[in-house]
Amino acid sequence: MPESTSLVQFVPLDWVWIGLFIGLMVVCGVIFYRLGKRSEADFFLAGRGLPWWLPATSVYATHTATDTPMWITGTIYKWGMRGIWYPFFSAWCAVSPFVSTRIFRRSLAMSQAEWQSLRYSGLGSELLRGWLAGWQTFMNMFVVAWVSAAMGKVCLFLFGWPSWIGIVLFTSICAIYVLTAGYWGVVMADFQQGLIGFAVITLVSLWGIYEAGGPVEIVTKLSGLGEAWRTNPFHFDAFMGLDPDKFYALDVITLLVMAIFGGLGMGNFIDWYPEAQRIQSARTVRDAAYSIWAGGLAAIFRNSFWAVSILAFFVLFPGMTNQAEYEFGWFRLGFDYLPAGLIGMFFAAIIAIHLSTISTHLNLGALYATRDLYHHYINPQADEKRLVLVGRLNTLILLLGSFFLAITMQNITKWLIFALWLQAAGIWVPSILQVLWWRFNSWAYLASWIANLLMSWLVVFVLPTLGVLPALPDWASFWLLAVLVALIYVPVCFLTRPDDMDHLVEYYVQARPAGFWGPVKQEAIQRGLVPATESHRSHGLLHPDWTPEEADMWTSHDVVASLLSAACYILVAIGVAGTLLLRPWGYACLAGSMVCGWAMFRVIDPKLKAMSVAFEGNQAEYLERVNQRTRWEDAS
Amino acid sequence: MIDEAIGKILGMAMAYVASAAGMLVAYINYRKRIVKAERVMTGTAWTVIGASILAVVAGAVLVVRLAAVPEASSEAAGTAETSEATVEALQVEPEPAVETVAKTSPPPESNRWPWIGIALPAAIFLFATVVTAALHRHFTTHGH
Repeated sequence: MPESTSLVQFVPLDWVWIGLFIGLMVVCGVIFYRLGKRSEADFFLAGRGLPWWLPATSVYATHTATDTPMWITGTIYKWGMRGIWYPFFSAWCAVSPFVSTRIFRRSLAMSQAEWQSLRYSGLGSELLRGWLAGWQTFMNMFVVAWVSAAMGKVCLFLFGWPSWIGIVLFTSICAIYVLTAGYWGVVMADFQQGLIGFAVITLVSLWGIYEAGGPVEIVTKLSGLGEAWRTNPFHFDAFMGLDPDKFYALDVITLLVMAIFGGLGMGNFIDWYPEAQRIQSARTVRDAAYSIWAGGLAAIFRNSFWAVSILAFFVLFPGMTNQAEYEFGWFRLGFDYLPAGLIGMFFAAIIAIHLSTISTHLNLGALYATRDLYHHYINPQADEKRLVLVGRLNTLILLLGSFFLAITMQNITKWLIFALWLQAAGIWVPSILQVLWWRFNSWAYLASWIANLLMSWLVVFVLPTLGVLPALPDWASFWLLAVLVALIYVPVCFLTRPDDMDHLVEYYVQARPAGFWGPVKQEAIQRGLVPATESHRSHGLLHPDWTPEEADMWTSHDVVASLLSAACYILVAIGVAGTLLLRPWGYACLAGSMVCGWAMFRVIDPKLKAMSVAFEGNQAEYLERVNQRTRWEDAS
Repeated sequence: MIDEAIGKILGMAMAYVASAAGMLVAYINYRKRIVKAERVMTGTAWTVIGASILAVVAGAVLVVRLAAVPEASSEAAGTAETSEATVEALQVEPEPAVETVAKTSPPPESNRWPWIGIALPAAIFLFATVVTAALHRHFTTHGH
């Protein structure tokens, strides 16, 4: 390997910081060994007792992977500030806290696969649980392989190391605390890694802006280059069109619809699955809601810092046309301009970002393999000690499997991107329907999954190759797949029977789903399981005193809080970027986001508090029922 | 290293097999524990499994044949443009990348404020250590 392949030269001080930070991250996870080994719920959910800020930092850390800065850099460098809408799908975390997060947390399902068997009944529900458990176990191994391979190539790119070193070294370091302390180690290390990552991302971005001459100079130079449009997040080439080299308003509308309405469903996005684990690890419904809200907002905040720093990079290096080159722009701001010592901390932060993603997916894959495949199907009577042991074994198997995939079959992991994208298209609407509509049954959801996988291959691979369809832009593929898959699951839904009413009532009483659950609610009222009161209608938006019965109901407060939250997210995305550029509209948007956030809190917090207190009173009983179902004890 | 198009198909097939295996285990358990059937696998189940295998084989043959058509794999990647570009970025050979960087890099002024390379990481490290200790103390002594 030639000497010149190393782009970065570390001085001893850099290595000192890298060593110290890695040591601290590992120790931070390992010291929770005693808590992690106590039970299955501890190994995978930290005992369901975390305050909101711990899963929130974990949500943020999980949303930040090794290749995230490259993706966002590539997007902003190509499209300017309007590219900020591409990563805006994280905004499903704006609406979810007040709808799907709340419902999922109340279900007490350990995994999304388990939720399927709580929401649906009969053979269809079990088939869905088995399907999702298999899919998620394997998918998480793929994600670990994918991210490890990315790290291997970053190390190759930066230092000229053989890629297997980057793949094996850092993922193995991560596995130390995931194997010993399980989710306790994951979430505690995530907290630390999230803080380090956030601090360093902010630092490097500000440093880059400074090196480009500061905000005013960036705007001036962009104008001088005839690129002033790059500071405008709403600069569209046209309303709609099919040219992939143009930026359409319909792209943004599709992304906003996906993000905002996606928060109503469960499983619309690949991010839902790790976040579902964080939701369930929060100690109350209220903590779960705020953890998702704050974690998602931190990711939006981070994106804006990145975006402005990439404008700075554009000013420093305008006119790059090779995407492979400019996608490393943000890394170059750090490695080219930071002084000795800070470069070491910068690389430590990159490792922190990497470890937080790897640890999450190792533990999550093991959760599905242990809770759903082993505990539910293979050994329902396993004791806690054995379940923790199996959890560790599954973690190890996933780790070794990911090494195998990442080192020997890197082209296989390219499939992952396709799979992650297609997952959001055809099952996007069914994932919402299963939360909001009582009549949507397990067969329809299962049909949507299978049809989506087949249709997506047809739409993006087979038909364009045969010349039947042109290669479509993202927004067109998304809506086409949504319609084609609907042609399958809608008839399936109406041609098969609804789920068992007793089962639906049990689920309704515990989870209190939003939307169209009228017949189930009526049945629950008739059985005396749910009060029929409608007194909440007289409450104003800032009503401070909620009874538990009122708080359990869906009211205008939930809708208003969701809208304010979505507005807050959008204004933060624009406001932070505009403020960093010292634009008056940036200050206005940032101030508007604060007002929206404050109003949202005032509207929803009293309700969430009352609901959480009431639910905690029944949680032990509900939890026992959920565990009985996993052990098949309700079948007898 | 296997071909990219075959790699995608193989990856997809492996995930489908894992999901289908999960579904099969679920089916067997449902028959055993809920239906309490003496014969776990019914004729219908065998038919569905057989038909699925046939469909998968037929689909795989079709896709492999199509993958042989030039540009097939790039068509498939077209919808995940940005992320695929990231893949390409990560696969840049080191030598050309160094050359391009060397052409565009300004002389770095990275020796400005040398004290900050010690002070700032030390502050963050100290803060992270204190937070770790506090978290451990809190969660191991408060009955969690």
